[in-house]
Amino acid sequence: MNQPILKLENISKVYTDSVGYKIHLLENISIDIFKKGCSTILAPKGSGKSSLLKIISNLDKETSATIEKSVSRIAYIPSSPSSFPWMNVNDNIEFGLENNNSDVSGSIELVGLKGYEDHYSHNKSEGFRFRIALARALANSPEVIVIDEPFTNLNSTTRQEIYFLMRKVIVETKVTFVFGTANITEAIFLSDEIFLMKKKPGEIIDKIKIDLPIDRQNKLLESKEFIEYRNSIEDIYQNKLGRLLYNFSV
Amino acid sequence: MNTKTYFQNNNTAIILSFLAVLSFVYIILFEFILPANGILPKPSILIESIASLYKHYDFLAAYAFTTSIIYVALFTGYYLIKIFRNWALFFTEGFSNIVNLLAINKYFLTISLVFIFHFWFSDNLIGEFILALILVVGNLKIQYFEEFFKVKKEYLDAARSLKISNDKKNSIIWKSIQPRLFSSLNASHFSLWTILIFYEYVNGTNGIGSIFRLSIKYNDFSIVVLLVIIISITLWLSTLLLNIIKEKFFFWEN
Repeated sequence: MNQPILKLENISKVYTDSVGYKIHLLENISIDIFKKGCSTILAPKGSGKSSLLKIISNLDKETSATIEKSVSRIAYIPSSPSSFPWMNVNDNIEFGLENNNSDVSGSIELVGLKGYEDHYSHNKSEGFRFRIALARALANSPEVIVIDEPFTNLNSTTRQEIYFLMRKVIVETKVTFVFGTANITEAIFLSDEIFLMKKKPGEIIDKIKIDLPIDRQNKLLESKEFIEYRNSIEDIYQNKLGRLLYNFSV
Repeated sequence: MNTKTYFQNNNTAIILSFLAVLSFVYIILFEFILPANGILPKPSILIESIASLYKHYDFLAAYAFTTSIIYVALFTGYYLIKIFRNWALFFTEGFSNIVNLLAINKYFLTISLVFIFHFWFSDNLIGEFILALILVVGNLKIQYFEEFFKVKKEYLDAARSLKISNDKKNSIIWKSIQPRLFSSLNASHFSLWTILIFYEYVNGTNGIGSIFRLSIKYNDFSIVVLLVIIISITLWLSTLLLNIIKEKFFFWEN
């Protein structure tokens, strides 16, 4: 039987706010993530998904959790641009590489930055900077790439371009993607499975398998299956939480 | 083009036009309408004083003395911070509370150092240089600690996930801080001019400050005005130079 590459059991996180109240951010979250494809954590803003993604990436260790991993290299791409503005595209992507065997030029080509190797990112768009961050993560040959809601500040045209790029990368590489978003359309378009999470405290309330074609195009967004997935996600939130969706981007 | 954009695009031209108008008004007013006054010297006397400034006050030597100390101290201070940045990081990360206590600038009047150094070193060049260096390093150190806590977490999180070495992590912090640190040289160099001229004034032996002292002693107001003009031009030029260096080498400030 197929074994999960990441098995998260009973992840909880409590923190004390500035006034002294204890806030239960995450409560008993258990997730299995399998090799290949894209698993998305869909949650409203402020539900603790960034914290969960950092726990998965090993960047936050202040948690009571059991995480079984059969992978050692997990790259993390944060929500704000993380490409270094003082380096050009090529140096950014080579940053952190331990050996010279990594396919830097392949990563550059895959994310569509060929011809921009000497460009600096300080005056470039967030879409450009995301491409650099993605190429850098890919060049480090990770088994898992965790991406935390990076498309929030993109305009709609760039956002769609990045969706197609992401799908291309998901299909063409052997990397497993774990993606966090508050955008239902984005979650369905990019993912192979979606974990639905609620807030206060952050808990997983359901899991949906997305059975859409591997090659996803624009017209898919208006297809019957796509709309059905969207409606069913909205229904789950309404039925399980007993209220309308809020704090979600659609 | 709206007014704001016009002013932004033509900043230098506007300043030069303004200075030209000001000079014109000054010449007309103080050369012809109010030749004898206690406000500003006559323009013709000001021009005549240029020769006197070189001949009697040994201006070139004094100017070279003060500017060398200021600019050598500025760049030495910057490179000292650069060389010892990892030590500074170690203390900032590990002992931030003690570091906060060490920010003596909150309770200490910088000008007090002038009097203390006057007694320690008198008119010694080394003394003035050490004073300048302490001021620069002190200012840069404060700026460094402030900027350390503003380094974008995204850079560090993304880098940590790539399992980078400590050296690389420190280089990210340094590069993030560098543009603002360099900008703070600009602010430092203004306060440095003030303190050092005062120090030289108190000592009365070397530098531009000593010329101020002499000109006040001889009641030579035109020399004071000339020095003020020369210092302003020097400050303007050095600010311009520092900005050019920053745009060329530290262009990535967010």
